[in-house]
Amino acid sequence: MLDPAGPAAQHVSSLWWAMFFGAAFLFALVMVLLAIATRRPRLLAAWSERSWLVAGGLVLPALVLPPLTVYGLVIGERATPVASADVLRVEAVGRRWLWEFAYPEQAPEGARTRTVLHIPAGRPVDVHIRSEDVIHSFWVPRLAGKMDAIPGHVNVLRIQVDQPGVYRGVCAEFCGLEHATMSFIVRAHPGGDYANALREALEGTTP
Amino acid sequence: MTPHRATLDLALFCAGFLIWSSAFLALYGVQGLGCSAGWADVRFGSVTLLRPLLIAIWVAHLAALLALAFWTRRRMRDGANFLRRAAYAMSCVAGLATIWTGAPILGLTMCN
Ligand SMILES: [Cu+2]
Repeated sequence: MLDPAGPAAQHVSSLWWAMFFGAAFLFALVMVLLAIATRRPRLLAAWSERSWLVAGGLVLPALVLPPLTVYGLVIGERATPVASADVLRVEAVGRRWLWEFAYPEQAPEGARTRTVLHIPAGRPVDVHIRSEDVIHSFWVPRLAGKMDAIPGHVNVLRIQVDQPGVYRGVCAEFCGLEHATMSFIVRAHPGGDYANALREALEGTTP
Repeated sequence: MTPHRATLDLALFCAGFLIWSSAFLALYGVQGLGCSAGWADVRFGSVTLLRPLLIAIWVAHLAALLALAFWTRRRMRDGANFLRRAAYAMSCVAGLATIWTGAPILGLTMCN
């Protein structure tokens, strides 16, 4: 999450850092005020109790929370999958306790890879996420936020990888005994190699 | 003050945030229902059915809150006491909260 490898994760990470430094600053401010309150209480008495309440309880949150909300909404809006000709569609199916991946645009029905999702680098990919039993959650920390896999419902998560490589993913919603082992790998291939790599990975899996 | 009128003031005190919660619930529910029922795909020219519907729900609640604010202000002017001042303040705050929590329906992507 702190080492983003794609645009969606980049936004999440920038929000995280903004909140981290904001929280660190406010924590330091409170500690300084606390120190002053114990050592030089007269300094604080320059403001009435009422002003402290209004400043700390109304003005400060009004300055901090609305901008954070708007920023969060903008990031969420950018992560929302909008129709585009360039997008590749893949499917992720969660089941106790493993992930399977299907490629409706590239491979025949029923051809699935287990625990490895193959995608091309440098191209947006819509992962259509669903579950065959209980609620799971699809999470590749370096690529995007979490998205739940819910029985009877398809959720879509837009991911994009800038560099070819291997990115680890986990199930992020407790789903039973083997939940902790329900991990997977996203393998991003260079754009030109993708079709071949996927064909190789699917070899022998087609029923 | 008669007991009956205090009861009314108490009801008015609660009314603002009851309307707020009604707006929240209605927007939340109709948005999800509309998306799954495909109302966002029903088009009239460039407008889809769902967004105007949500905006209508929102505006109706805001109108109710505005009326409530005028009503509670008048009662406060007729004879101010703590409950009446608080009822007026609560309807104003509930109005602001409804504007804030509902405003995203104006711009954000509806479904997906
Ligand atoms: Cu799981």
